Amino acid sequence: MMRSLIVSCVVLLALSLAVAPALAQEEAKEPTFEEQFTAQLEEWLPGMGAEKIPERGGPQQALQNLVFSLGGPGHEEELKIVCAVVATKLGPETAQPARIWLLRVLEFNGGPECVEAVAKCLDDRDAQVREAARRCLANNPAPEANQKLLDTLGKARDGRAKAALANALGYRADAKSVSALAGLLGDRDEAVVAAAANALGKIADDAATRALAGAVKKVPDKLKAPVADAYLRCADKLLSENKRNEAKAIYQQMAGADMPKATRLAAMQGMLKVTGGK
Amino acid sequence: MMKRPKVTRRDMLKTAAATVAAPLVVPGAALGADDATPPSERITMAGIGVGGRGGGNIRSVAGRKDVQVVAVCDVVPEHRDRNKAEIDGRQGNKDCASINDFRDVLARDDIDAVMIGTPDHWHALITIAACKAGKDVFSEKPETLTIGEGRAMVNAVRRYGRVFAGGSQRVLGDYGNWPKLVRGGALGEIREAFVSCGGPSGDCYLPEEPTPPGVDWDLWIGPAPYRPFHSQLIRGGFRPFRDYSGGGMTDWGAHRFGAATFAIGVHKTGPVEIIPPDGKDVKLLTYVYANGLRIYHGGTNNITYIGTQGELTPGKKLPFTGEVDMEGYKGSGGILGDYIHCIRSRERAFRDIEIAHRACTVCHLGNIAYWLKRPLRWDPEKEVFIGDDEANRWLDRPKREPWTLS
Repeated sequence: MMRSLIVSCVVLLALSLAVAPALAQEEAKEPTFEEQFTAQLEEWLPGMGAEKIPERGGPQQALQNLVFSLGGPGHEEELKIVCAVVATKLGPETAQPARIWLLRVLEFNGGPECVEAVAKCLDDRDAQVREAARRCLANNPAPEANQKLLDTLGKARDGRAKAALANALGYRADAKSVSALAGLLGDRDEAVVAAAANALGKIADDAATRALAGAVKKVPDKLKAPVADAYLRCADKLLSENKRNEAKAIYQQMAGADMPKATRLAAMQGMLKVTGGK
Repeated sequence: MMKRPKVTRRDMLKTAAATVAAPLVVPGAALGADDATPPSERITMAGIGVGGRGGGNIRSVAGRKDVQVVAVCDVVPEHRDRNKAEIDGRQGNKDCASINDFRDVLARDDIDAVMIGTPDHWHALITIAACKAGKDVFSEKPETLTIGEGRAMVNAVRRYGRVFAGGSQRVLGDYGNWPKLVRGGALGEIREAFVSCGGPSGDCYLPEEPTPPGVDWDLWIGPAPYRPFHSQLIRGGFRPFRDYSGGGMTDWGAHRFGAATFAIGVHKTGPVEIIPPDGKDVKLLTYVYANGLRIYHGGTNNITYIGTQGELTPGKKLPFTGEVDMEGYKGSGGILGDYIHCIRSRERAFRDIEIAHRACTVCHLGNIAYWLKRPLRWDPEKEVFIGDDEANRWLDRPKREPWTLS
C-alpha cells in the first residue's frame, strides 16, 4: 500500500512539473492593443446603435475621443489598427445608426486599411449608409478611395447617384478622375453635367480645362452657367500660375454675348486681373 | 484744341464691369408721393432664412426708403409668413413673396441682393449660389462653418464681382473708441489679448420629434449629415452642434475674435500656432502670432488688451483725440447701411468676405484644437496645418448629396 502511494505521488509530481510552464505562460499573456480595442468596440456597439438617439452619445463619443487622441503624429500604428477593426463592423449585422457613426469616424481618420470595407457600403440597401460611405471615401486620402469611387461611378445608372459620386470625386480633386468626369459632361441629366463640371473645375488641370472648353460650347443654355463657372476657375488657376495668355483667352471667350450675364461679368473681372487692374 | 483724355482698355473694362455689376432695379409699389425714393433708385432685396436674427435684419431694411423687400424665404412656413405680413405692413403693399426654397429666390432676375440669416451650415452654399446668380450678399455671422468654405466664398465673391457684407455689427458697435485706441497705439504694442466667448461645438444627440406639417426638414438639413427633426434646431438652438455651427466659439467668437483682431490690426492674417489647454501649464487656449502676439480664449468678460504701455479692461474708458487710419462703415445706418451703401458704390464692405473669413478662421482653428486636444501649427497664407494630416481633414467636410461646394 505504501508503495502504491509513493508511485501515485511521483506520478502527480511528474504531471505537475510538466503542466507548470504552460500555466505560467497563460497567466503572463496580455491581450494585444488590437484585441483590447476589438473587445471595447464590441461593448460600445450596442449603445452606438441604440434606437433612442440620446442613448448613443456616450459610446459614440468614447470612440470619437479615442480616435482623436490617436490622430496626431506618433500614433499612426494604433490608429491604423483602430480603423481596421472599426471597418470590420460596417456590415449589415451592425445596427444602422452605429454603422453610420463608424463611417463618420472613418471619414476623418480612416486610411487605406478601411477603403475596401467602406466601398462595400456604397452598394448598401440603406440609403443613409450609402451616403455616409460616399462622404467617407470623399475624405479618405488613400488613392484606393478615389478608385473605388470611380468604379462605383462606372456602374451607376441613376442620375442622382452619378451626381453625388461626381461631387465626391470633385471633393478629392484627383487628376485621375478627369477622364470619367469628362465623360459625364454629355449626360442627359442636367444635375450630372453640373456636378461633373464643378468637379472638373476643382481639379482644373490641363485635361480638365480642355474637357470644359469643349463642353461650354455644346451644353444647352440652362447648363452654360455651371459649366462656364468651372471653366472660369480653370482660368483663375492658369492666372495664378502666371499663364496669362491662356487665362486671357478663356476670359475673353466667357465674356461673349452668348454667355449668361453673371458669367460675362466674372469674365470681365478676370480680364481686369490679367491686365493688372483692380 | 483740347486733348481728349486717353481711355485705356482697362478703364473700359472697369466701367463695363461696374455697369454690369450694378443693381438692376425693378420698379415696385410707390411708397408715397412726397418722400418716395424713385423705384429706379431702390434696391430690391430678399431675406433667406428669416427665423430669428435673419428676420430682424430683413424687417429693418424693409423700413428704408431706398430698399424694397420683395421676398422672404424660409423652410419654416411660420417664419416666412410672419415676416411677410410685417414687411407688407411696413411697405404698404402685399408685394413681398413668401418662398420655401432659396433657389427660387436666386432664380428671380428682379432681385438685386439677399440677406442670409439661415443656420451656419447653409451660409457658404447660398452665398456662392447668390454670387453666381449675380446677387450681392449680406450674411449673418459666423459667415462660415469651415475654413475651406470661407476661402471658396472669397473666391466666388471676387470672381463674380459681388459685394459681400458679413454680419458682425459688434466689431465696431460694442467697443466705443477702443478700436481706435488699440490700433492707434495708445496702449503701445499689443502683446496679449483675452477674448471671452463660449466653447467649441460637439455632436447632436437630441431625440427625434415628428416633423411639423409644412416644415421642409430635408432642406433645413441640406448639406449636413441627415438626422431626424427636433424643434430646438429650427428655433435657433442649432449652435452647440458641429454639423450646423461652431458653438460659442463662432457665435460670440465671430464678433469678439473679429473685434480683437481688427483692433490689433491682425485681421488680414492669422495665428501660426494654436495651443489648447493641457490641464497643466496651458490654462487657456492660446493663439500665437508670428510677431509674438498672444490671444487667449478666456478671461473674465468680453475683451481685454494688454500692451507695452497700458491695458484696456472691460468698463475702462480712455480718452482719444487722435486720427487713426482704419476701416469703418460707409454710408449711414450701421452695418446694414454699410451693405446698402456698398451695393450702390461697389466698394468693399466693412466686413468684406476676406475679413469675415479670417475672423471665422480664428474661431475654427480654436475649435479644431479643442477637438483634437493638441497644439497645432498653422500657415495663415497657405491656410493649411503644418505636419498634421488629421487636422487638415477638418478644413472642410464633404456635403450631404446633392449639395456640394463650388
